[in-house]
Amino acid sequence: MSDTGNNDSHNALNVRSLAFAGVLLAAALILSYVESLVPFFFGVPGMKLGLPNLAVVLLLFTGRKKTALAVNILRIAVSGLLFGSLFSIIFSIAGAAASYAVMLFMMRNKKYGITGVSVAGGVSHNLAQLLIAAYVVKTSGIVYYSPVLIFAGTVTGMAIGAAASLMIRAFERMK
Amino acid sequence: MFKRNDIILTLSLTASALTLWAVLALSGLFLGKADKEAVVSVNGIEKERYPLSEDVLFSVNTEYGENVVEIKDGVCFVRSADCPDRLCVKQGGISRTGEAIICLPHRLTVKIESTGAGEEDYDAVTR
Repeated sequence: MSDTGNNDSHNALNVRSLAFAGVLLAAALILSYVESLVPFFFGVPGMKLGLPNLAVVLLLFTGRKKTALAVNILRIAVSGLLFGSLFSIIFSIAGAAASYAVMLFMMRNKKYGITGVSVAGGVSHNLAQLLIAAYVVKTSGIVYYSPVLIFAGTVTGMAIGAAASLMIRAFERMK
Repeated sequence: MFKRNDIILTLSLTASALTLWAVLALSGLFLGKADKEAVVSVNGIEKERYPLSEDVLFSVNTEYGENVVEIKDGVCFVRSADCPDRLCVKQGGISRTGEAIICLPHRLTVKIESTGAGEEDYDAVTR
């Protein structure tokens, strides 16, 4: 994928990178808010679709791995306090950590494009939340949700991948 | 935007979701009924238990009257009764854990309970 040259390995507080991270954090928070409007997703409290993953995918594919992690953590902290409950924070951490790890891994073996990476991220996000839910509710019957969750993760992953690649193209034109 | 591997990954995930769904639906069909029982009580005292997995027709005779109960294809009905309102017959079939048919004139309840340890059917979980 294209490297915009603002790689965070420079470590200097590049104004452009900082502004970009701020805008994406704000966008991620808006997406968190949109998610929180659908509180009863899959019948499990606190379980979410993973729309804010769009910001993380964008940052990863513009070569800002550390910024992606930072935006992820800040997004969970802020949105958890603003719109969430204790459960939603636990679910968010599980989902975000799993999808970040899986997406990094997928990017490293360069066989997958942006859609594949974000689909894998979406599915792992949902499955991690399912595991947490199974632990919290202590009902093995919750595995019945797994097909729905895999499917939902695939669909949101594809949508996020498509949106992110369109946005990356737009960013490149802006320069 | 789309690499070949992306399409393979997406299709295989969709396929695995479908297979998993089919497996769970089928296992639920076979296992779901086996671990539930219809518990017949009169005046709050438990009289009999019948597994929902077996078709059976029996009558409950008490000092209050008679109810004929049937279990068929995992669903429990009161088929006929000599009580005045026959609400128990009109209620139809029950099959989910926690559901109950109550015949007030005869002090009779038929309630579905699950035999599995702690496994319950949840309609929903609220926070």
